[in-house]
Amino acid sequence: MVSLANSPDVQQIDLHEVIRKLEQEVAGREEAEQALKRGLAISEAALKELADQKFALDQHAIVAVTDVRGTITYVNEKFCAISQYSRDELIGQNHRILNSGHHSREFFEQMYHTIANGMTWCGEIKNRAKDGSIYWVDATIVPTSTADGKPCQYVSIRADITKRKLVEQALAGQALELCRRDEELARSNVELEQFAYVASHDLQEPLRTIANYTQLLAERYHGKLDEQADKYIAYAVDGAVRMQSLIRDLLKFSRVGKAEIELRTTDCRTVVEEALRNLRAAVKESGAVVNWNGLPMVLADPGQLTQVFQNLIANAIKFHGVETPLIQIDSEKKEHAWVLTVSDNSIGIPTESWQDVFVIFRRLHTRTEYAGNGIGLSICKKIVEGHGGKIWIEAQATPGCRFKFTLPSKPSPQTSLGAQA
Amino acid sequence: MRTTEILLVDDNPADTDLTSEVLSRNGGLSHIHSVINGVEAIAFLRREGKYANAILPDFVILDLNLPKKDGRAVLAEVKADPVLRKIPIAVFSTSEAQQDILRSYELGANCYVSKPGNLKDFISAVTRIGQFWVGLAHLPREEKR
Repeated sequence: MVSLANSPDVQQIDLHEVIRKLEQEVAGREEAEQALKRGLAISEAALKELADQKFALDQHAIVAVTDVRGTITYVNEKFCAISQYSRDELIGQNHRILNSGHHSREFFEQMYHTIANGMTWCGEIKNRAKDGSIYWVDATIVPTSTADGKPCQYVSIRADITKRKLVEQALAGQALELCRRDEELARSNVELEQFAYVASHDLQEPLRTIANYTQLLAERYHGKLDEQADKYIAYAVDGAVRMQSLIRDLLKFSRVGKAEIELRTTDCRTVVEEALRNLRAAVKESGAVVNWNGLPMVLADPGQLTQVFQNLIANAIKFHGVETPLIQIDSEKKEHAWVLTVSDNSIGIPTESWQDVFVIFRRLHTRTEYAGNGIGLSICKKIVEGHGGKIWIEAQATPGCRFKFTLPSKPSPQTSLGAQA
Repeated sequence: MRTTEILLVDDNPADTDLTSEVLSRNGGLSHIHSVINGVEAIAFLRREGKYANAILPDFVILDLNLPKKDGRAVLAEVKADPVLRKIPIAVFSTSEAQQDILRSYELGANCYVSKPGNLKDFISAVTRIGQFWVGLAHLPREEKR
């Protein structure tokens, strides 16, 4: 230990030393104070940032904090707004107050199991507001833990997804409705097939018996009864035979489009040539001349399209006038479709019947004038419409008939359903 | 040459009559038996009940849509039977439906002919069935060489 009284020199030196040390200490303190101030500023900034973030979060999300037993300890404004409860009504309550009864017990057990084990749980929850209305939230629940790792509270941040859920439910409803309609359609197709079978077998069989035996009567007893009996038998034979052909045609009509239309890129020229091959006897006999130029490639079922051309050409030949049948086939490209025209120099169709001729079994002439059941144009109409097109008759300067029909240039199920916006 | 025994299975007596009549035009070559449903057809072929003394046919003409047991079931049963399966069966039905034709061949039919709608064609069809199966084809029980 040094004594100041015993050594004035030492005392002198010591004073300087003390002053220096004091000065040092003061400087150190000032430095610490500065550091403290800086630290405080940083803390303040951090707190402000946190407050800002909390503000932003509160603006965006529904926030709640519960203790480990699920008792609500904090809710933000949005939570109160969506649940329609006041803060006082919520604090101290269990979260069950919002239970809509939609979710199973397992759903909540799984949720609590996850957060109780310190893991974050995410999921969609259907809640019930104070007035009983339903709202959906997309929730993220984060457990916070004490120093020893035990969860002490759960912070849940939610977003209102009620609108999305309603849209989803509406979509699911629509999907279900579509499904139901599909089933209905499938069922009606099956019924149609059954009808076709009934028509082809169950109706044809008794009819065949009538036809066979009236024919047998006509053959074996011709001239053995009186003249009137022969006539009656002939009527019966004729009626039965006509009924058979009507049933056959009805069946043909019902089968068009039943076998699903197989849309393919189809060369109209090939199709017209095929139709002419099928009609070669009639073409040869009548001396019909069929002309076309530049027929397009279209999207169509080739077999069905052949049928359309075949029926139109056959009609032009069948209903020919005094002149040799002359048939002209043209095409024109429109915005979404090809328009095909089949014009002829036949006896034509009176304007007032332009709609009627497309109706099944509608005939404009007696059977003695022209044979046939009146099925051809109704089949054309069914096929064209099955392809999403239209068929109609148009006036032309020269005598005869002009049929026009459209075929879509591109397959467009949207337009055919009329669902385009 | 012995007669050919033909079993006609058809519920429509009008068709049976006509078919028998046309087949009989081949002179004494064939002998025709007829039953009106599938159950009787099987009983006849197995010689059961009232058919205990029936003669095993050489050839069967079978309609498809029959009461009690339909033609498809008869076809399936006969073609699964080791004794009966050798007997040729001609399906003769009003149906022209593809599914009936396919199914019949799948079940082992030996030919499928649709009953034509008019008398002339009906007679012609039966005549040709007779000409082919009785006149031309060798049948399993025939001993001629």
